Amino acid sequence: MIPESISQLLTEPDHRRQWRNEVREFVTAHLPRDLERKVALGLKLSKDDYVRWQKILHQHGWFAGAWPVEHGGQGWDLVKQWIFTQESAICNAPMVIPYGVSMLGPVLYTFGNEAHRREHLPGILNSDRWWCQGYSEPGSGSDLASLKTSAVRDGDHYIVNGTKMWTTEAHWADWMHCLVRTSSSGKPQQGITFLLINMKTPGIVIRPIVTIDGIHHTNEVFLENVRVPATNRVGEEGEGWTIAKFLLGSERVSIADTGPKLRQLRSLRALYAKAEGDATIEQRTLWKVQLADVEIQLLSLCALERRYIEAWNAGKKASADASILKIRGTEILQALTELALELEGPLATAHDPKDLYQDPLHPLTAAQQASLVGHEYLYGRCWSIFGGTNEIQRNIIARQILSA
Amino acid sequence: MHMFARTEEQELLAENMARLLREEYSFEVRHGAPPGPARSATAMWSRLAELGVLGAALDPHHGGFAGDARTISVVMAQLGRSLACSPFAEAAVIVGRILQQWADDSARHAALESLVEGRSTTLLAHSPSTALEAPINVIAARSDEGIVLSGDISCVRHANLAASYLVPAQSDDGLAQIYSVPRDSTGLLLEEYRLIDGVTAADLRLREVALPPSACMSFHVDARDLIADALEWGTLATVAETAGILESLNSATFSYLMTRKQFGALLGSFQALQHRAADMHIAAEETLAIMDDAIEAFGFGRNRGRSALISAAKVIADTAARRIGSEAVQFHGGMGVSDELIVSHYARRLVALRHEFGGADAHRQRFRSLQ
Repeated sequence: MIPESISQLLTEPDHRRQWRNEVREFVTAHLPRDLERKVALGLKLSKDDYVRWQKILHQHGWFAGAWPVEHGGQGWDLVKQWIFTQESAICNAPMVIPYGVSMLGPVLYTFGNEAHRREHLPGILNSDRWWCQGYSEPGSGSDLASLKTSAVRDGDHYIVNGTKMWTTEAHWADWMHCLVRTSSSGKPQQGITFLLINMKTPGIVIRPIVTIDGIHHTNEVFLENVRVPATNRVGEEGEGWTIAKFLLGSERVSIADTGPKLRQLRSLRALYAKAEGDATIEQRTLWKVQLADVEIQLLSLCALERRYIEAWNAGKKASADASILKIRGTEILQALTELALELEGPLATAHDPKDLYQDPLHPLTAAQQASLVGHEYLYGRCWSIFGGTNEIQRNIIARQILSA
Repeated sequence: MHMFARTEEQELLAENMARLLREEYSFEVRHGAPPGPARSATAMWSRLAELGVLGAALDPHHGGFAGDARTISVVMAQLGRSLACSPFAEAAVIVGRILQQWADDSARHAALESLVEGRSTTLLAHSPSTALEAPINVIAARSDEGIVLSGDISCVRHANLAASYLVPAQSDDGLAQIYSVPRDSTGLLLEEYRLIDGVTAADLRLREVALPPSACMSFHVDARDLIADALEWGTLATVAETAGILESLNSATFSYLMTRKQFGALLGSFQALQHRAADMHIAAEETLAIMDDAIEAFGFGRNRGRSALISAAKVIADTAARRIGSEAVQFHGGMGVSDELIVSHYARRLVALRHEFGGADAHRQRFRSLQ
């Protein structure tokens, strides 16, 4: 039989399978039922939900598995991190929110000084201090190096002025790690500096941005004469671009993000099983081919993800590989959600953002379930845009394959 | 991505093949040769046999030196790059898998030896464009002297090269057997024609072909299972050949984009073309990755997982071949459609490969039916 999870079609060495089983057993034993249901159904998780799960992981020592042991981690290599992330998602665990533990943590123990580490690492580890990422701006999305938010030195402070955009969960955050411009001379990348900003500092205003799915995930953050202690600068002035690139490199292990997609495939199969009964033979034949097509695409993504992560783990630089995973991962996600809409039949267009806040332990109506499918479809449109649009990713690939 | 980690022996095999094919079967040589046997790569068959390549398809205890999916893939990729449309997949891989199971020890030994030495060619009478579990069309009826076969098999690639065929046939009780049918059997007609990639094929028409009882081959396993297993190996071989061609086509296309100028600028400087080139690269990478997993599955015998993986690999390879074959031609502009450039030959070979052992939709359905 084909296993429930198509990724299991791919052979895995025993020690990896053992690790996968260990992760599965832990998640199954410790994941609170309401969280498990929320993730499985596709309901919206609150900040408290994420914190609750992250604290459970932390108690077990698995929250910052990728960090070195001396900083409170487990020193997992990329393969171990990837299996943990994938298997957790398959088991309906909430994702680990990356802004603190995956992004800032490694920056602090790599570029930060002792004071930075003492001040911030404990709060990241126990999820008591929540972080957001202030990178994009109204005029600077994929062309990040053109960012304009300025930081002008004033004694032992910087005065920060500007606007950050698409700052996901800024409304949950206690702190923001932020790219600011400290110089306008030379190449645009050279004038960028990495600052840590307390969100309670006077002069910060957050404006919610509701996205295409009708939900408030992201924000615009206005900074007006915000005084930031110069000691909150990580690295030197002008080193921000290097740090930002390092930080974004930490995303590569989850960039294909196959775990949530395998979970979605499971829902898609259930949806098909439900829809098949009322469908004509012609419709069923067509759906079967379409379903097989997304399954095969996802299977090949899993194969590609594994090959690349193994190569990175062996020391190969990520280069355009990560861009390939970003493009295919997001395209496949969109294909999954588009097919899910088709399978909803007459309820395909049902969508009310309020349904994302239903009680996970009570049965949902057919329309509410369809509404969640509609949400996945709509939110799926964001993925090929954020984190560097798929067009930017194709530029990166082209640079590699078309080098003269 | 590199194709996959190769052993020293596989590396050496690939190098030797590359040298032989470069020196004796370059595109320029082949393209200059008059149409006929020299162009259809049969000329290279004996040279490949001399190099020992044909033994790559067989297990060591059957007179070969490898017989594993990785080595076969190395050979197929090399044949693909040199556009040597040889019958290796059909006559060595598929027939090799079947003959290895032949229960008649002395006949098996002789047939495999002949295969490795390239002395005579045997082909499975199978229509390559049908899905892997296609019904058997030939009927076997008992007669006083033995067996009489009747039925048609369309489009057997390289059919004219074979001295004999392995013909799957079904008796009226539904039992399937494989029969060894000499090329010169009375009542066996070949209607030959040329295929899109330049090789010849034929429809086999069996008009009451009378055979002695000994023509019915006995195997250690069920004939249908044996054929299904062999065809999966053949499918893997076509995927590996496709991967080899995709690599060559991409590399030719990308370097063309970086040398050809139009409107005073390199073609490769136009973003519209850059993005399509990126998609060509992605398609080739996906093919290599899923093929690598399929190869691993061939280490464990035939099971549903392996069957699903090989169908998945065929779908991905087919999709990539469609994209890369047509984009490579398009990017080369006028030269892309000329017979003088290897690009159009690769593109034509890819069309043939896509249709061998079932196309993408047939394999999507097969993948789904395995769940």
